[in-house]
Amino acid sequence: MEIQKKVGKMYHRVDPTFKRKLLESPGGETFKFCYQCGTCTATCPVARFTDVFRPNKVIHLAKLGIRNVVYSDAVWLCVNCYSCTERCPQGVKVADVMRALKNLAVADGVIPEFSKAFLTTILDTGWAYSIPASRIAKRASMGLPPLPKPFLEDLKKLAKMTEASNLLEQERDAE
Amino acid sequence: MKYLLYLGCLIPYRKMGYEISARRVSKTLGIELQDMPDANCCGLPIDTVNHEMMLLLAARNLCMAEKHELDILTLCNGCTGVLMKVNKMLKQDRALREQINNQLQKIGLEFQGKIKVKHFIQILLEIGFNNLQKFIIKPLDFLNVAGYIGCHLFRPSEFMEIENPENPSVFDDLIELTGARSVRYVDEFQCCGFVEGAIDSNIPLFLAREKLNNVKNAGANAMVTLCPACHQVFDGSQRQIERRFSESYDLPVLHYPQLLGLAMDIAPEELALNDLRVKPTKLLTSLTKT
Repeated sequence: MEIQKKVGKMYHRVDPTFKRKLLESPGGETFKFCYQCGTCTATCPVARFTDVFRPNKVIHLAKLGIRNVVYSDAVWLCVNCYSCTERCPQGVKVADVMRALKNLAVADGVIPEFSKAFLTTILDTGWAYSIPASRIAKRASMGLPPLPKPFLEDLKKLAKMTEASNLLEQERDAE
Repeated sequence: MKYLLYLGCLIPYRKMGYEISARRVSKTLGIELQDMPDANCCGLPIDTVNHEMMLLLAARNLCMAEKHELDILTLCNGCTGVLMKVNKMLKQDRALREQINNQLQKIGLEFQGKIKVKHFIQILLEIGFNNLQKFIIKPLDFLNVAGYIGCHLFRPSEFMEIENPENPSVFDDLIELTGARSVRYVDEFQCCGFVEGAIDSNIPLFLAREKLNNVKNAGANAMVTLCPACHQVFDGSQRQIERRFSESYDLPVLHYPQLLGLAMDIAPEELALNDLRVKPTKLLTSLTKT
């Protein structure tokens, strides 16, 4: 619900150009083939336990350009299990479309806290989870080799190139 | 047979038992594992934030492996999915390769497409069932095992190499190899819900509970996983699910190399079975009786 609050009335207008944006972003190309049969929703493991997420509905709203719904919690509920992608009769890569929508939401400044945390930890340690010192000591005591240490400078450079690190800088500036 | 072992983050963070047992079993099977000192995150967790960054992180790992001139062996399904997919995407798509290489150049790397990425079980399949059979000293014929293969190992089938993605039978064969009976159950190929925990903490409990019930109803006395994330859901959250729904499962969830190791007559201590949250006490007593 955290995102729902954030989006609020940010995008209360219908944006007819939104579908073009989605078509141009990597992963979003196939969404135009959707004919709303609902196979994705029928096969979705998450849709069984929530009323918020319906993949075909998200695609339909994206076509219409109703961004405040597309950017809401719904799309982040996708677990990326690819069941829908496997079964779509139209060849829509549904999971990739959901990912493209998340990427667009992030580019527009709607990013959930956990994603931001992942990004910060990856840039600080090289890994998505920061492994506590006690674990590292336990590894050594069990005779396991030390964990890999990537060159963090390289990762930071990559994040700059893709503008991924901008998200964190914006946040720092705001503070 | 020499491979670079790509651990990922969840295994050293929470699932040391998987690493220990995989190393131990590999040693007996003659799979030589070299560590990857300069690896970084596979990229999966930030695919949702920035697709390009994911591609670059995965490509950097692949470049490192190319430097060592060895194929990558993965244990985690998430890492397998991403690294295998990006490796194939970059090999097939020239425009994308050039774009990624332009960026990698700035940190002194170039993707050449010289290596492959394989999950641990794919290497077992390469060794072949006939050869593996020779290592099975203590068949676990008293066990009914429910296998949980995990999504990213066989989906999307466009990039993954597991046969028959609608109904993959390879994991059943690997379980039957240990002498145990592989139990089929409802929804066995459906997501465990691990990643959902970040956005809604309820849904993964419902997803996992349903599967635990299906497994129990099918008459299994143990579960086996191939992915640390699935393992975390079924083993790590099992007590929480029991409390939340006032149910009792007491279902030990093993990592596949642990099951294989037991059948190969490797001591349970060497396979880190005590690292599991749900203790496989009953299983070990039946094991000593045989």
